[in-house]
Amino acid sequence: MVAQLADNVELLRTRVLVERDRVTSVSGSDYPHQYPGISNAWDLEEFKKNFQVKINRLSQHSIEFDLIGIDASVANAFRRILIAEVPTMAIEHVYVMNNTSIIQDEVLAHRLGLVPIKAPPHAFDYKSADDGPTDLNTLVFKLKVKCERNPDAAEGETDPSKLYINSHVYSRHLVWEPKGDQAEKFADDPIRPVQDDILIAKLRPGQEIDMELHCTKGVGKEHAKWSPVATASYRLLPEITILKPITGDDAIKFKNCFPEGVVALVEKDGVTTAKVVNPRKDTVSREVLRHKEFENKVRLTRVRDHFIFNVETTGIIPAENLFVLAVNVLLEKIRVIQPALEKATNDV
Amino acid sequence: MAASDASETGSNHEDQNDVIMEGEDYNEERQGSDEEMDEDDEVAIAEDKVEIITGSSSDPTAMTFSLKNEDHTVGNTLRHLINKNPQVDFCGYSIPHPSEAKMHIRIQTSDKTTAVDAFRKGMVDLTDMCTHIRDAYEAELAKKNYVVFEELA
Repeated sequence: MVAQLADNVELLRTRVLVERDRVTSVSGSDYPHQYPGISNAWDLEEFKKNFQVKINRLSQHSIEFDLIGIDASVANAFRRILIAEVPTMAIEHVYVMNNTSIIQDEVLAHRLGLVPIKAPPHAFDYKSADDGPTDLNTLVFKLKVKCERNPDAAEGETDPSKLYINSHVYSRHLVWEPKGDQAEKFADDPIRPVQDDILIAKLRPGQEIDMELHCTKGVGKEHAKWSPVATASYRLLPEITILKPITGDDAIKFKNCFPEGVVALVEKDGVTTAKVVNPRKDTVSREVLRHKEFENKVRLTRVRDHFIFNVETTGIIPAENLFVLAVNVLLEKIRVIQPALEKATNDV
Repeated sequence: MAASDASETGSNHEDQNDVIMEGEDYNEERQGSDEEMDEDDEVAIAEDKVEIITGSSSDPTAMTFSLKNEDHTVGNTLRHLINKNPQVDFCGYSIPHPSEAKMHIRIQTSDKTTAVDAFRKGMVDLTDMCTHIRDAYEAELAKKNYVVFEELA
């Protein structure tokens, strides 16, 4: 159904051109009336036919997946939502009963806020300023650590972790105090910080920290501590096209212009020729465009609708679930706007 | 699974696709016991969310909508989809001032439709698109065709 466009027009329509000193043809142009014979009107079936998701790798901490066939505005919306609008729980209020350490109250409170708390955000409500803390909107932790001298330490010992007891305050010292029915609700997966070994403060004998910490639900937009991702980013799929064969020593030099694995050397009619095998690995440093011998022999482009997402989680929400939550947030936003529009147009 | 944390999804329009249709007022029945008390808030949220900035005349084919508490996330995406409507002559969005959480979206259409209809269609298309993207992603996850690797902490 796509009419045959001239090669150069097709190139401009689907690719971002990466040249030596500029990047052109960046914005999407898939709107009606742009190309003869191509409708580009929104068609759900057409979209479904062209859209693909490919999940590349998954680990405990991150996921890499491809979205093919969407526009940059949609990909960016998902990226923005992943970073700033997927809710999580984080320490918000710190009630200090005793802090004789040399770390100031507010510095400790700031550090505690940044500790990721493994609690399912969907099980909690938002707490507004005038709401009191309830078991539905708050999690309570206690941090009570006292540092003492270690009587069993050897003479002349200098290592503080052996000389003193509790000289380092770690995130494992955060003790969850279940309130209301939280104990049964989270019996299978108790609430705790994601990592045990986050260093919060250092103490010396006689110093003590005694605090009560309240966690509430929030989004990254308000404070980065509520962001569920270490970061979420995407890049466009790079493409390297060899326009004229590159052979011999030039081929070796060509191969070295790219990261390992992108270009391979093959024997073709007894001559070493360069062949692009895995453009996905390329970091698009444009090194190849700096050399005169490759002028007009290679074209660097990016595929404009192929997005390679890399989402790394802080551990609160498993990496594979993050994207679905982000899509749901966008759907929810639209769901709020629709009745508001009806209301505004009916009042007119 | 954390994937079900938002309320149920559905399109607000007639087209049939493989998604469960919950055509009603979204106020009803959200899953999760913690949502029951929020029903009153639902109506309050929609209060001045969308405002129509009246131009000089009452021309239904050219209107500017002001959305409160929205930004490029929704703006650019809606703009893209509304522009894909062949009856829309112009669609653009702007944020009048970064310190104020307001977004203006201007739609100008041919006389075959109205700006409000184009806006509605854009939102419906966005809902369809997102629902499909989510379903495709979940289907792909279920296939388990990917490499599971150990990342050193």
